[in-house]
Amino acid sequence: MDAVPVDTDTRTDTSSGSQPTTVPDSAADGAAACPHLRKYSLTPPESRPLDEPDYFGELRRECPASTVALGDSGSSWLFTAFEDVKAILADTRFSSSPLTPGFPLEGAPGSDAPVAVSTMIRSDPPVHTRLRRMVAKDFMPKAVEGYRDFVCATIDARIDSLANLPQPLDLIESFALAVPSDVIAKILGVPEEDEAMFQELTERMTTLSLSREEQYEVISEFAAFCDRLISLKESEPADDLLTRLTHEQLLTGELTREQLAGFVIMLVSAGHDTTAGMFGLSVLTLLQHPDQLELLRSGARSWDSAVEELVRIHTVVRMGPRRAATEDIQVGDTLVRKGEGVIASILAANHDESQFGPSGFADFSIPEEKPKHLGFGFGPHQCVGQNLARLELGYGLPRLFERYPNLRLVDDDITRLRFREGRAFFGIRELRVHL
Amino acid sequence: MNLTIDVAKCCGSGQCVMAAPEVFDQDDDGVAFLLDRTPPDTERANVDEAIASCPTGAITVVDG
Repeated sequence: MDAVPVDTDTRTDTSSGSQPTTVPDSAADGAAACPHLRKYSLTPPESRPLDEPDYFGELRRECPASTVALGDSGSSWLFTAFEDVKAILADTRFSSSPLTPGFPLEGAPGSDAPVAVSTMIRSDPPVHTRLRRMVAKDFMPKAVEGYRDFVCATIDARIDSLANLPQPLDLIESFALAVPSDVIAKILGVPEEDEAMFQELTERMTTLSLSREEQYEVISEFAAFCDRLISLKESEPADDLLTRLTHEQLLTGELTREQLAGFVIMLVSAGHDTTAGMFGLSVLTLLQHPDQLELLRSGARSWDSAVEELVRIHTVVRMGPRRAATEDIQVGDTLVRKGEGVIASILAANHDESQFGPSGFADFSIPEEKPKHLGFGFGPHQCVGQNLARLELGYGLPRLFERYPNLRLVDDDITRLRFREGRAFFGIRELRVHL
Repeated sequence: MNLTIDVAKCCGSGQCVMAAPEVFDQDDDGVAFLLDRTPPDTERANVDEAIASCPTGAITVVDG
C-alpha cells in the first residue's frame, strides 16, 4: 500500500513535515526524539468509558507516528492514523513473530510462549500462508453459510432460554459469552461433556493478569486438553474441524501435535472473547441510542451496516496489532528502521476523524453504507473468523431485539459500567437488563 | 476489464466473494479464483469493491 522501500523518492518525505525530523536509530532513541513520549495505555477517559483514550486523538492530529514506553523498559512506535495503520498491516516486511528482533513484547504476556509462536497469528509468510490455508476454507463465506442453520438454532435457543431466568438478568453471562462459546465448540467438535471445561480453560487462557508462570501453566493445561481431544478425533472421527485437521494435517505429518494444539488455542481465544465482547457492547450501544434502534426497526438502516459500525467504534481487539520491521520501511512520512517495534493501533485508526468523522460513543450513528474499517485487521493476518462473527452478530442482535422488544437496561449510567479487566479483548463484565 | 489473482498472496478471507460473487470463488483450500477473467462493465463496481476489501492486495486489473 503506502509503505514503500526507502530507496524510492518518497524518502525525501522524511525531511518534510514535523515528525520525525530526526529518524531514530532504535526505538529507544526514538523515545528521546519524540516530543509526545508517553506510556502506552488503553485506559479510556473516566467520564466516557466507551471511547478511545483521549491521547490517541491528540497523536493523530500532532504526531501520528509516535513513540510509546511499554512496560518497565521497552518502547515502540505507535501509529494512530488510518492510512498508516492499514499500510503497516498490509506490508509483510513487518513481521508478526515475537522471535523477530525488535518485536515489542512488553505488555503482551504469553505471546512468545512456544505454543503461541507456532500459531499462524505469530508467524510470517510462507509459514503463515501454509498454516492459514489449513483453516481458511472452514471460515470462507460458503463454509460459514453452511454453519448458518446451527448457528441460528444455537442463538435462538439461548435467546429463548433468557425468558426462564429471574430478572433482571446479566446478558453477558447468559447470552454474550454463551453464544460464541457454543458456536466455536460445535465447529471444532468439542464433545458436550467437555464444554464446561473448555469454557473454563478458554476464560482463564484469555486472562492477561496472569504471571508468566501462570500463562505457561494454563497454556500447557489447554494443550493437554487439546491433546486428549485430538486422540479422540483419531479414534472416533466426526464431521468437525478438529477431526479434519487431525486426519489431513497431523496424521500426514503436516502439523506436529503441538502445532495442532496451538491452532485450537488460537481459534478459541481469538473467536470467543471477541464476539462475546461485541454482543455486550452492541446491545448496550443500541439501548443507549434508541433513535438508532428505531432506524433499524423501521428498515431505514440495515443491520449489516449497524454491525460494521459497531465493530468499528468498539474495536474489541485493542492491544495492537504489534509488528517488527525486518528492513527499513517508509510508512507515510516516517521511516521505521529494521529491528524496530511497531504498534499499529486499529483502535486509533478506526477513530480517525478524517476517515469516519466524530467517533465517540455519544456520536454513534448507523451509516447508510457499511464503513470500511479495520476492526478485523487488514493484510494476511486479517481475522479468519470475520464471516462467522458477522453471521453471529448479524443474526443474534436483530433476533434479540425482535424477541424482547421491551429490552431495557437496569442502569443507564455508562460511567458505572464494569468492564472485563485484564483481558486480551475489550468487553463489558456485566450488563443487567429487564426483558 | 481483465483480472488476475496472485494466489501466493491470497489469504482466503473471502472478501472478494462477498463483494463480487459472480466474478470470484474460492477453491477447496479457500484460495480465490476467477469465475470470470473478463467480467462485463456491469460488474465494475463489485470488482472495485473486491479489490479494495482484499486484505492482501492479491487482485489486479491487468487492463482497463
